[in-house]
Amino acid sequence: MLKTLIRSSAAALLAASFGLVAIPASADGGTGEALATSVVQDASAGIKNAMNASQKKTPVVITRTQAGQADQTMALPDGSIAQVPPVRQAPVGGAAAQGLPTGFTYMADLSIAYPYGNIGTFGKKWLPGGADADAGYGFNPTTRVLASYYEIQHYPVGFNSGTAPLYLQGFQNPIGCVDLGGGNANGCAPATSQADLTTKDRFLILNAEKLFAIKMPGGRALPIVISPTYVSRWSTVAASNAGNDVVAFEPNAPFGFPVTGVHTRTAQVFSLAVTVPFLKTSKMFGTFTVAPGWLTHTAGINQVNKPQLYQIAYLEYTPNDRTKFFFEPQSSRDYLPADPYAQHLIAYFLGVSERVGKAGFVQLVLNSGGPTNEGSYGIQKLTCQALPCGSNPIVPTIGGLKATQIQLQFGIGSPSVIPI
Amino acid sequence: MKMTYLTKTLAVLAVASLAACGGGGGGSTSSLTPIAPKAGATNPLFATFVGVGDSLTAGYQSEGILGVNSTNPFSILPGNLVPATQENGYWALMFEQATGMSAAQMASPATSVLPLINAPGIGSQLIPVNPANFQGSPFFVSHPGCDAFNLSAYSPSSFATVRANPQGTILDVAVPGITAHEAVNMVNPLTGPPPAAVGTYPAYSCAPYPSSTTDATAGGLQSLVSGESSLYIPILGQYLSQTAPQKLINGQPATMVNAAAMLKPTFATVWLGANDILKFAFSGGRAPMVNMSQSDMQNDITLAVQTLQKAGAQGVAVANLPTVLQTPQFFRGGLPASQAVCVTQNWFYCDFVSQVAPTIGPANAAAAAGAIVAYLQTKYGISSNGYLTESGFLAVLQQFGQGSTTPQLDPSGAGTGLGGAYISDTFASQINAMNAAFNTGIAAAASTTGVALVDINAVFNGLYNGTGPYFAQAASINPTPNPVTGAPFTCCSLVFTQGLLSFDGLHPSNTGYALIANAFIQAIDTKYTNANIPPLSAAQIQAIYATDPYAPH
Repeated sequence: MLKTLIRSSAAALLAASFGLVAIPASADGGTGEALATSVVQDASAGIKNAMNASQKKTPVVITRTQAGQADQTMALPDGSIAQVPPVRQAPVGGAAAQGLPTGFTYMADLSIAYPYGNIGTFGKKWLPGGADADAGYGFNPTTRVLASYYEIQHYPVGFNSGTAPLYLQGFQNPIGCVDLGGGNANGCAPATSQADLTTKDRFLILNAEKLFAIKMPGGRALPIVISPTYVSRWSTVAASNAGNDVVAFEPNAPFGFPVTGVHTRTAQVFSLAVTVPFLKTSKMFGTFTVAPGWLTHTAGINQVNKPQLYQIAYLEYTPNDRTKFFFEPQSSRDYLPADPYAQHLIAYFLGVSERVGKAGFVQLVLNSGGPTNEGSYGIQKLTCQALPCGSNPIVPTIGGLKATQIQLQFGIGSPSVIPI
Repeated sequence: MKMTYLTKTLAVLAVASLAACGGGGGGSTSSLTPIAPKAGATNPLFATFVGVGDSLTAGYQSEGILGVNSTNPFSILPGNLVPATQENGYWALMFEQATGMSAAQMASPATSVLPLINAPGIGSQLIPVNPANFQGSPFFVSHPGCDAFNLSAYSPSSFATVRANPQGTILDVAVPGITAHEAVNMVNPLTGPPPAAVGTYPAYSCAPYPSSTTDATAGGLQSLVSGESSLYIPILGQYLSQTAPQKLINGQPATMVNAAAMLKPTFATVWLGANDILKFAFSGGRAPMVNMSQSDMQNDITLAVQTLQKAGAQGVAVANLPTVLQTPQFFRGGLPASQAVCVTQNWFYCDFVSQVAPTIGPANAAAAAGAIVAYLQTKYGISSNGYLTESGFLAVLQQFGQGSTTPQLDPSGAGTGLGGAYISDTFASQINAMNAAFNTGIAAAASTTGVALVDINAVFNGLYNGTGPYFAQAASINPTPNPVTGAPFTCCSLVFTQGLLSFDGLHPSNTGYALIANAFIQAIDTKYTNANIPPLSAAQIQAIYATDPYAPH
């Protein structure tokens, strides 16, 4: 009798269907994107302004060393980095910059995004809109503070496509498999309901910026910007019934147990970004930023707080005074409460912005990013907490989050590179 | 539909053999009261002596687990007894030897460290009955495995009524039915209760978990995990968080091993893995643990041991597994080389002859047995390397009683009886290979963690082959020649109903558990020189045998 039941189940497993109860989002471009958006853009602009000013032999106020020398000024000598000053879009609201923007600056925009990649059919639609804003105040060309808020929408791959093995909690081997797309691929049971992984990350970033000049051999000076930064991020995941980012997940061994009640995409980070230029021509400009960062505290299954190093390159091309193309590759880190170890993210931004009128802008950004130290993206496996699976919670184990999308922004002020 | 008594017993054996063997990461103590040394505990090594395991460590017997003596009008034991099982287990006996706790204290809900289950018990405990009243069946269940008591065991709200000592500090956290991987990963019952019994005992029926055309995980898979699911809460109940059932009261994931670690053991035993083999065997290889490897077993046992060590255990004893096909749950096919091997080994031919000879005479019994043996080989591929299960054996007896020497063991077409009723030669070789691989993994885990290894496999090998000190001791318990089987001693051996195993053929009798307790004690005393646990003496074993309801006298 028993064997018959088991055999019947094994045979019927192929035809079974399962509904996904809760799906967490884990990680994607993450904090590195926020740093790229807020810190790198401003630091790069400040460095470029400083270098432009030096090309024009305009005395640029650059703090050489410490407060005791704050009144000392120097002009960057000819040929410090570049030959011809590029055209840049002046920050709106602030004074014409010779270093970091001075006075009050602002930016605000509304955005929508469309996801790409193997995300099945469920998420293939324009994502809900987002909004971004920042406001800064430059005390002088070398000192500035900035507060920023960004909303980043994305739909990661691997949650509504492909197949995933189905486990029973406590079992060594799978008891079946599920076609996440709702089909019957590889003989797997179709998922009768699909998870909505529409994710909107929110970042609040507070940073100070200080422009320095490092004296180089030959009398040249290298402008750099150091930016102490605080990032607070939180999120909403559509799969969360509570409208937040609390979704159940099950880490792989050695944890291997369902985790509930954890804000999977909420974290706070301190970092200290250092931005240096590496390219300056009449139309091109590039910087490189390294930013060691620390979580303010651990949470969830994140038990150790090892410093992480963010690395962001920025390259822009400005064919005229209203248009800017940019490319921003980065090696980032996400260390979220759902991560037992930091995810090493490789991401890039490729975009163009166009000034509209005096203060408006339109920006189009293609972004893609995902971790390199995760075996696979999206749902790696599903773990049924009790039988029958169709009427009991099924908790996913998540690999890295990879997302690719294009974002369209309409705003006023000076556009930043808004990551997805 | 009413079942015949024998059929009902077969069904109980088929399902409960899975459910029964049994039935149903290092935490830190934050809110538990420290465990006080038990009465008589003078050796600090055993100040908190914890048991981790399955039905064997829980004291399961005869397809049931029961913490208090009960009665049943059909029982032919003195006083219509349905004997308690838990306090007869090897772990209870070993604990008593190590700590000085008395048997009476172990059996008392007020002082026991066992999670004593109230009457009528969980599972369907087989009791000896008058065969004349049960269509020839010598056993019947003490109560339905799907009665209200059994069903209530799945619910946290019923914990206080299922357990005789719901407030007790339980040190034997073994959960019958649990596998090695479940021991370190299972955090809640894996299924709810099956449908309730229909009819009134003894004329009742239990329906299986209903299958579903839209959810293949309903039905058979639920039966596969019903044992550990029914006993998870009764065993661990007082250590589970009420607000988050998947957590222990110290916040750790509520695995059995974590519960043991939460108790801050000074010493622990770990005996796991039997269910991994048995679920594989009884499911005909269809159970979802079919690919569990030697390294998987090693990893799980290592994790269990290391979790206990991190929690403070100064010593751990890990036991390997008997060759499960040597137990009298399995009746070996083919013709025995001689009658002599039937003294220590459970052969279908010998058991069949001894069962039917009193009715039809020895010559006719032998002829019938020979015919059936030949048919089993031709039809089911069962030769001397294959087996009938106890369910299969009883089914053959039943069909022979109806005049058939060509038993039908495939209920739904060719091969459907594999595992439940019989083990073909080919399948047996797979089971034995898994058995050996698991033991290699267990030995490796013991070695890498530096703990004692209890070689239960060697004990059973000796008993099976009639060699070694444990066989010598077993055979000397009652050296009077057995008038029924013709064996040179009355007790005890691995042969079905011959004293070392209970009626389910898998779980030891009281006497069998006593020998296992001594095997543990010997290994512990050898590894840990400060242990000094006195082994059970011959006199103690004689006293246990004297009241053992599963041993011939």
